[in-house]
Amino acid sequence: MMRIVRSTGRRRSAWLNCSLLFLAALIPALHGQETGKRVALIIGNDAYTISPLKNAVNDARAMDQALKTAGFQTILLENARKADMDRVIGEFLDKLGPDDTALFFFAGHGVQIESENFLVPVDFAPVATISAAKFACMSVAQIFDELKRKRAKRNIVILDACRSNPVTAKYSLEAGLAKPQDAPKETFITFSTGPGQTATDNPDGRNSWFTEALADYISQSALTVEINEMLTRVKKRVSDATEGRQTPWTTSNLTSRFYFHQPLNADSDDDSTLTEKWMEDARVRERREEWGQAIDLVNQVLQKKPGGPLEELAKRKLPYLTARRDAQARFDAGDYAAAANLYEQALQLDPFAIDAALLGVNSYLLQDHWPEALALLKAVRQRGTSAAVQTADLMLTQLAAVSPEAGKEVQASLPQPPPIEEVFSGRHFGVPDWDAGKRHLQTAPVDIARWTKELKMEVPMPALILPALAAAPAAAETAAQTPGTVTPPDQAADAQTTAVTNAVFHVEVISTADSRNLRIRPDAPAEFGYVQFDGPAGETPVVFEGTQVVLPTKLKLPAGKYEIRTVDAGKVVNRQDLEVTPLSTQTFKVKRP
Amino acid sequence: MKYLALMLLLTMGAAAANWTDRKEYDLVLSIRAETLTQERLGLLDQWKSKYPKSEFGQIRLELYLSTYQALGDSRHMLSVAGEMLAAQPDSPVGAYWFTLLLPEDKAASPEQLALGEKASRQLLASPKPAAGVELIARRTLGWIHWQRGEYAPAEEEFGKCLQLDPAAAEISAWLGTVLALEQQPDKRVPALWQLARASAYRDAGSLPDGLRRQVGTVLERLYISYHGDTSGLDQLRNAAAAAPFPATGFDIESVAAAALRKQDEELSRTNPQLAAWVRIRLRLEAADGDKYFADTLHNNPLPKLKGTLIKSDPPGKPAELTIGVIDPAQAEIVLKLTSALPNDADIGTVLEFEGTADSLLKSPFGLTVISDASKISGWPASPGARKGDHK
Repeated sequence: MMRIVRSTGRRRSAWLNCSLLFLAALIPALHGQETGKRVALIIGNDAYTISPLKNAVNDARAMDQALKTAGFQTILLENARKADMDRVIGEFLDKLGPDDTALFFFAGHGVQIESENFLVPVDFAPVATISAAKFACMSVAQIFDELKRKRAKRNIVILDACRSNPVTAKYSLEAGLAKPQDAPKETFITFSTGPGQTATDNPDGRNSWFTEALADYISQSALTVEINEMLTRVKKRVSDATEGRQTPWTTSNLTSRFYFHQPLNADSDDDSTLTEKWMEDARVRERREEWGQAIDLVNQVLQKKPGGPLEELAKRKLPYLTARRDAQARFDAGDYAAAANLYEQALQLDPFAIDAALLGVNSYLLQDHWPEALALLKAVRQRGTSAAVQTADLMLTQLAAVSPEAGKEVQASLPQPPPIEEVFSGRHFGVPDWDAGKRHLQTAPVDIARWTKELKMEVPMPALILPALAAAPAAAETAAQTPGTVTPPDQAADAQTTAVTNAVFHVEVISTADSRNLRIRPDAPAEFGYVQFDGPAGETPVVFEGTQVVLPTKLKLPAGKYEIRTVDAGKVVNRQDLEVTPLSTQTFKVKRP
Repeated sequence: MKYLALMLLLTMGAAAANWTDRKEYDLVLSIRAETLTQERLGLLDQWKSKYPKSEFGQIRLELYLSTYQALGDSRHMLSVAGEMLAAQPDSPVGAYWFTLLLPEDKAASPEQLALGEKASRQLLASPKPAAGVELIARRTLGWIHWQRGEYAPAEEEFGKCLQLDPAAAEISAWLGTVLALEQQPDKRVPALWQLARASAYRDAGSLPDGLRRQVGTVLERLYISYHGDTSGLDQLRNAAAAAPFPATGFDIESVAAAALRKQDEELSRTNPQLAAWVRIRLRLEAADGDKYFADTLHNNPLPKLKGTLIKSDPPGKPAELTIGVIDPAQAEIVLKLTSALPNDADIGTVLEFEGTADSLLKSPFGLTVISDASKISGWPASPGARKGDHK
């Protein structure tokens, strides 16, 4: 009986979708260092005829968003039939090149059959035999084979498919997925839980515990940790959330580090732009009114002491965020007086925090403090958007019943909006942001490959270099150690003549590696053969190991392989291979071109 | 002070600008509130489209700049900086960003290079530029010269950059590249040094890892081309990581110099006469060969040399012998004899001779030496049969 497994997940925090979009915008800045594409195939299957799932499609969508923030080109497939899976895997593989990172994510039912993992398409129907079931599913081993064939730079395989289900029991199969075998080189594999185990249910959630944590971490641009470290965090988060009942599992044969969000200097972990990313993330949290998380991020920035406008901004932001957090807490606790004070404080710190002003108005109205509420509404009329002004006017109209001042205010013409410099207070228009420039230089190094690729540093040999002599010491030593090597009679006297050989027509006898190896064996018995060089008498030097004789000559050479080169005016005009066997005699005819 | 005053005036000028209407203000407030960079860009585009003649044109361009920066879109940042300069040629913000970003443009036009040069010089002319601005200006000036193929001024600017910030590994990489591009023998070792520094320096100012490794690969390739193998490369990397410039006298032996050295060592052992002559000829053929001849050789005796007779004049009683020392077929020395020899010798006869250097011809090479019969050995005592010119 086949067993199908799958996990579900708890509701993902609301900020995720929003921050994903924002972070996607940062992709070009954050992924400039790595060459090659990042391509992801993401499949989420819910609509099974047997044992349908609730969250796998959500998981796929969350991963799609998260991976986009990490610079992946994604192919998202929801509720895939077997034919769809076959087709899209082909499409995915076609996009991969040798420098690319391939990521495969599957959320849905998975099954192990005879220690092999299969991913179940939504059109899977119960079949009579296990063999037939295998054909109806997508084999993980087959995906591995295709990835091996494509030989991308690295592969990442993520399977969130470890949930127990009735089908597994029907076919009497083992629970969970099997430990993957024969994975491609340079592959990182992670399952939502350990091999052979099933994942914990998360019936109230929108995503599986595993995908929720993974997508959350991947979407954090400031989290510039290596994939192993990221998965360690995912494991901890999932384990904590499930009280130890589920721990994701990983295996890897990657030989290089992989970062979803590359630090500037991956080796040193010294990313000078990290503070900037934290600050951006803090703004996202602020917008989502996640005050505590925003405060944590700003504190992280301040601890790093980045200096310049960034530190100034963080210093300005911290009391504002603190006031907003505390105001909300007091308001929620029904302490409207304290809340109103804190909203006032927040508005002083950021005069354009119109929502704080309106919340302050609310806090005052709940205490029947009309004058204070009126003052805040005036501020809204001056600095708010047209929509906020409309809200303020509506409130003033209602307030007019108890406060004549409110009636006057709503009748008064709308004050001029503040100048643009106030809107962007803290920014110095007309003055270059020197620090931003410095940070930019750190994050956007100029690629000089197009110049360096063509650089050459070849050193021309001076005309007075005489190769035969330059090589002579080694050759002379070899000859001295080799009993029986031919020593032409006029060698010593005519080293001078030897020197000229490169400039004139001559023949060189060069032993190949085989022969050299043979001759450096000290205990090997010396075996020799002969080569007769014929040609115009007295005109053509024959050079062997730095020594020279003239035609005609008979050289006694150690057995082995040689190349005979005919050289004219410094250029090799002819090459011929020649094998000297013991006691053989061969003839070589020297011809002038 | 003037510069600051100008900036203040510009700022004040901007402050005097007015909103076109409340809707423009609404739009700008929405830009202020937008945390999603791509969305902010869309809102800026709306502002530009709905209020093309807004009095906040320069401010809008500055907001575009920071938004494109958040997107990591240098190409558009450069374009915006160019727009700022077009609208206001002395815009400090435009000049700064155009200067800073121009080197990222992979296909800068001559017009852009000219604009970049103007912007860089504007920054340099600032009476009190902010810290690091001179470096940025000189970096771009050097880059502009480099793109124009003006390597010497590029080298000069990059040198100044490194004096301002010895830790600027990017500049080391650029300087190394420019020095290598110059293809001058005396620039090769400094080029290797700078590339080694860019690839080995790991402290603040170092290149990102990927680029550092890329430069390291180039260094290794060039080093092998120059030196013949990787021996000494690690020492070079270590030394360059510790200092932005090589110490005076620092040298790396080129593959040619190594070959000459080995040849000299071998010749000195096997044929000292030829070794001596090769050394002399190398000196004579060097750039300062004439000076060497005048200071050292002229009217001074040469060491005893050995060479092959190529030609003798006049026939029968030769007084001028043309001799090849290195190559028996290539004339190198003309022996002018104070008195003619009594008979001819075969072409190809090997002679030993001494004499006094008289004159030098560098191209084609020829050294004229004054000698006499008593200083020549190997000349046949009896008249030899002349067999014609040596091949």
